[in-house]
Amino acid sequence: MKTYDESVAVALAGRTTTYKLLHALIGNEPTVSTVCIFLNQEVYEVLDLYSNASKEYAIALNDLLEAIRARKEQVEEFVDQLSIDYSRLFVGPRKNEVEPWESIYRSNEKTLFQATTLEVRKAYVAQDLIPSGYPNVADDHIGIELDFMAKLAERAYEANMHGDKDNLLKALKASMDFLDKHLLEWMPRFAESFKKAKHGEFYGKAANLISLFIAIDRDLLGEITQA
Amino acid sequence: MAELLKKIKESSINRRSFVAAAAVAGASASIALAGCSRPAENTVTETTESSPTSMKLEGGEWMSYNCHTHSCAYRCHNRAYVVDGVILRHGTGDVHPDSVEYPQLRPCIKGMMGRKIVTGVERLKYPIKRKNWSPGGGAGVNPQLRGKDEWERISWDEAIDMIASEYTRIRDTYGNKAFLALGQAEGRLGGGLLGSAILNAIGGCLTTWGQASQGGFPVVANHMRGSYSAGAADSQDRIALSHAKLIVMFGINPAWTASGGNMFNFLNAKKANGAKVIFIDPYFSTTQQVLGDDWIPCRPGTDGAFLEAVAYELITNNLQNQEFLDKYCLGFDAEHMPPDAKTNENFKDYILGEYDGTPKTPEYASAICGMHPDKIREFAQEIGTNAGPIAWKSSGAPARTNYGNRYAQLFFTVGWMLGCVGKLGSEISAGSSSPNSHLGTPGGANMVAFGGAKYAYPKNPICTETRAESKIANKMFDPNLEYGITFTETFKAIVDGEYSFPSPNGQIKRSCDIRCIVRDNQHNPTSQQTGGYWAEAAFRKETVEFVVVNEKYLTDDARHADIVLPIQSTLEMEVCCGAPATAEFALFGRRVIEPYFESKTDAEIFFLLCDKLGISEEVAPKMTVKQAEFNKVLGATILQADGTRAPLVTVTQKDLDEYGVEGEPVEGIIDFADFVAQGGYQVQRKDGDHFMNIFDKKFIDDPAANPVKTTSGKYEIYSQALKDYYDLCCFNDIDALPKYKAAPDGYEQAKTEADFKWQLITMHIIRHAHSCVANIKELDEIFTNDLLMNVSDAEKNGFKKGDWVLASTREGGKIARRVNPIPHLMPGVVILGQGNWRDIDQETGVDVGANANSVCVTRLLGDGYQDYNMNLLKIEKYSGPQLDVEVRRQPFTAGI
Amino acid sequence: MAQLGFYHNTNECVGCKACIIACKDKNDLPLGEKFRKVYDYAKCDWDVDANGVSVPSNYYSYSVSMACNHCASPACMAVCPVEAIMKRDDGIVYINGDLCIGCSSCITACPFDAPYLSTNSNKSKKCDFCMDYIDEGGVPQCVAACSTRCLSCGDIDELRSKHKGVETLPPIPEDVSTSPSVLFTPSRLHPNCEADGVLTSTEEEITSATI
Repeated sequence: MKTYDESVAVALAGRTTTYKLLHALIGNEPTVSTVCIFLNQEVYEVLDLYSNASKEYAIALNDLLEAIRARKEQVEEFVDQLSIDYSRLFVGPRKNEVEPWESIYRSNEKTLFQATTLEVRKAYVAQDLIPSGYPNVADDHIGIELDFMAKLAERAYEANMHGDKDNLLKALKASMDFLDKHLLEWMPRFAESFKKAKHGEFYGKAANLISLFIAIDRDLLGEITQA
Repeated sequence: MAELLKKIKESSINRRSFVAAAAVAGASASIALAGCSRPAENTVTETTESSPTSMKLEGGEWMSYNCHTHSCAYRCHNRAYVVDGVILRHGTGDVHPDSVEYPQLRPCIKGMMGRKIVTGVERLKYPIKRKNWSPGGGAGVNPQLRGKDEWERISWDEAIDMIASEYTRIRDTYGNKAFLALGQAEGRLGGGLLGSAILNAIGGCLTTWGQASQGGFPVVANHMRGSYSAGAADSQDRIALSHAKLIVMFGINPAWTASGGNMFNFLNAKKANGAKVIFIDPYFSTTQQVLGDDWIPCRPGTDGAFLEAVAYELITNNLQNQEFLDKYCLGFDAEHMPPDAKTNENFKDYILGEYDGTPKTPEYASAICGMHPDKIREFAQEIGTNAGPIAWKSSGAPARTNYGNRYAQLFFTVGWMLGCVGKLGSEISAGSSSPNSHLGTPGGANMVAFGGAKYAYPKNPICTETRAESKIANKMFDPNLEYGITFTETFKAIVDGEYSFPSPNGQIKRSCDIRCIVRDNQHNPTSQQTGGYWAEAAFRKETVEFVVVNEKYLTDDARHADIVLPIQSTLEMEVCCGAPATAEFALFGRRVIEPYFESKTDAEIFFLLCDKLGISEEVAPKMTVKQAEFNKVLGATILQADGTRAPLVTVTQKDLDEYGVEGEPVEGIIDFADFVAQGGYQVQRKDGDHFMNIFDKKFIDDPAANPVKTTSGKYEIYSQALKDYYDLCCFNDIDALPKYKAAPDGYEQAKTEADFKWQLITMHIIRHAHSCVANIKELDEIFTNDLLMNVSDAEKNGFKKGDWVLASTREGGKIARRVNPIPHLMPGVVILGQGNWRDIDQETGVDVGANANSVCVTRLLGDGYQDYNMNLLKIEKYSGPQLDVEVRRQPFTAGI
Repeated sequence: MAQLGFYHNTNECVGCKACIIACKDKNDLPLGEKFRKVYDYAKCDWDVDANGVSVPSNYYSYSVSMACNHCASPACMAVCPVEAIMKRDDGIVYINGDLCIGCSSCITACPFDAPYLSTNSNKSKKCDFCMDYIDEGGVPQCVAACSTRCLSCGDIDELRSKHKGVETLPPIPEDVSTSPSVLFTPSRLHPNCEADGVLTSTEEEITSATI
């Protein structure tokens, strides 16, 4: 595996940014700035890096961005609406229209803090990371998992910039592992469940994009580590 | 170069992308923080030295915990196998080998579903506020949206701020009587509080009062017998009960109502002496399929007539225990009348028909109760000739009827005619604890008991009795006191602006103007109190400006609130001592899981509000939950053979230091380390031990030296004081003599009805503990809680198994439920398990959740007791929008 | 060779279903799926006269708890096309989930409704006598949880010599050609085991399908 290869560097930078953006998009309640950043041209260019690799991804990206662009004149109203959507989908107190925790999709038990949650926690701890809300929050929230990927991506990017092969490989391996054992296991069903959700229109597009992106990212990581 | 990388390179137009990417990578880190009212969550952080180090992640441990159901009449040894705060498995209480004397306290289906409840995904995680409610009253309230509004998450600071400012504003604008505190005893802040500790601290509030479990028993028992303990003192524990040769059970079904290992004890008690067990019940319950030797079906609310006929048979065959009656009772016959009697009517002559021309023959009773006259004769022969010892037991259920007070009188009287008191194996016991095989205990105090938590909080200056009804029940009515609003009337009173003061027929009314409803302790009044038909209207009343509820789930109460605060379960408390309804077991529970998201304990919330409202520590001294629970351990005692109590647990200064709590070291019989390791202390029983309970033995051994606390010092079959007390302050009527009387909405009315002809009883179904645990689908799938109906009745009325019916009362309450026709239920009677959460279809007004109290009418009775077991229903095919059973239904919390 | 089996004393069963829940907890079974089922069976004739006097007669009710009977000649094992079903030396019959192809032959063949198709995994599943606990010297979770101790297990021949009982009783199917390793003591209320009652359980209560 070479370092300093520009295409790899771009890829590592790109995926860092992409994970951070996706985390901002779905990890927390929407704000004007987290929504508006998607109108940013540079952000578009980063996200568009993958459009060439997958037609579905290109469509999904366009879908999402169009939804935001269409409301850019009434952004505050749009964000208010999205807040309601977010609350009804992921926060409660009413039964969430879509549960944002992995354990729900891995076992059919409608509980948090299951055995798979521990597996996720182990994965974090192995990288010297823990959820900022530990021990009160369920570790496998989509936002936390995406932030974990973002942090690992950043480490990989940094390691590559410094020619640190060991840490680069460590971060990339941990990332592939986590995708294989966790995110890829539940993202497709997570994305699918927005179809039945009353308030799922916008965030369904986000989930769809995430689901497609992580599949691409997994392939990308495979390529990089084999090179 | 590999495919994807190639494509990415092609995508990146020029170096500008690379730079942009790098720049954005940095910038986006701060995106999430901007513009948000709370710091970004759902992130990971680097572990540091200060990170929690107690993460084990490999290998777990079994931990005992205090069961999460607060509304259960029993208490088992619940355990969980836990790895770093994740429950992987529940235990079956196998902490020691199992035996009859020293049984494993195996949890029931509810206990074993613990993790579904405490880590259920729908559990409330954050404080929430109704979107269309804002503090300050007026246009910001929108009460009409309660129960169907949107919600938004708020911070604890915001919540405490709003609550404190609303309490202050409402008090200053409307006075303290504008507050209504719902809910029942707060076991963790200090049992017995009926109301709200924080409202007490700012000047008080109206509270609710009455009887829930005990029906018409308390006032009657206190007057006739001189004591009432809900069965805690007058029942026999399982070892004493094993000496009985005949056990008579009125409305008792422990297999459902106090599940867990309770039935094992009853079964063993029966086997020990080959006791015969007879049940009086409209339903051949699962308890009977194991314990029953005979079944006497009796219509709801008519057990009193049955008892009259039994008395008739005993008298006409001279089978009553005359010696006992002569020595210990007054009012049975003309020769033994109490000195204060205002009439000269005696029971024997009443039964023989001397006063009203109606001898209370089996034929007379049969026409009312439904069983064959010969069955009554057979029963009377049995109890009259059986040498005994006889255990004569009643749950609160038959007394939770309109004239449950009269039933209570007759229950005691016929028991005394058998004389089964004061000897090992004998008992006359009544109340909600009579079906608990660990109770009674000598003196009514548990064999092992915890001490108090020692929280201190102000008394309520407005409703001056902390548990109003117990004062009224205990013959201590004082017309100068304020008692608050009865349970049955609670919601109606909010709507009408008027409530009844203890008085015959509730004729004394007081006005009320409830501006704020508070439920900051455990209980679900909306699901559990009769008169539930009025609940929604009450919450939506225009003048109710603020509703706050502490809860774990979006229950019926919480759904109608303006602010809901998420509270912790017993599994999240650092220490949680079990309420020993199993009087033989003091459970020491540990923290099994970390506090769920942002939930807090009721005590913590109380102290936060104290801070905000400026309540000083002199008034409400602060104490951690850990310290409070530890105080319970320090004060734990065990009953000695001589009747005194000795400390249970040995706690050294080292133990106190290790736990970081204050207190005095104490010498007990078990080391603290063992106490923790074993999950508590369970008494090892054996036949003949000093825990065996013989109630009123002293009175029986020497009545002159040990009078009971009645007017005369004897058991009063004729009780003038009872009649006078009722005439003074009780809501319905009674006679000094025990007399059955036809009740409104009783069988006598049902049989004349074309429509409202079905008698409803609302049983404690095994799948819930009242309305706790009523949202667990895994339990819904094994007990579907259909409306049970007699097979022939179903056929005659055109209902098949699986049909959905609409059941309604004259008051207007309506429920929809699926029907299950079964053979072993009396014709004319239907059974609905109570505890489902009310869920009113906003279009039709039908409660599709089928909460039992939607069809239990508002009815003022006695000392505020409630009629859960004798309502009349009209039942017809349900033709509304299609429904499904709970297990397949969207969860209740999916909202309207 | 020893054959392990269950003994259920229906005379002492209150139908509390602790056995079902304990099993679900131990096996992490999703909603609807049950390895063990409890069947409530009852009868009661009523003679109601013109005055409404209602006399019950010929009445009984009892509950039967049954999971897999670990038959001596298991029909499931006989029809499995991929040999996914095995019988141990101690008589326990279990399904190897890795080999199961979800053809449902065993489900059709079993007279006792023991195996079912899990729609989550598309494989057949059933009670395995908690063989992992057995191997550690323990007992199945259902037995450990039973509130009245009416459910127990052991060598089926020993159980049969110790307790009086039958291999099947209503509402369990009558077919015992697979030699189920199970023993039931009938209720004292219905010792002749005639099939003259009704199943009072509702459909959901006795299904083993994923919901």
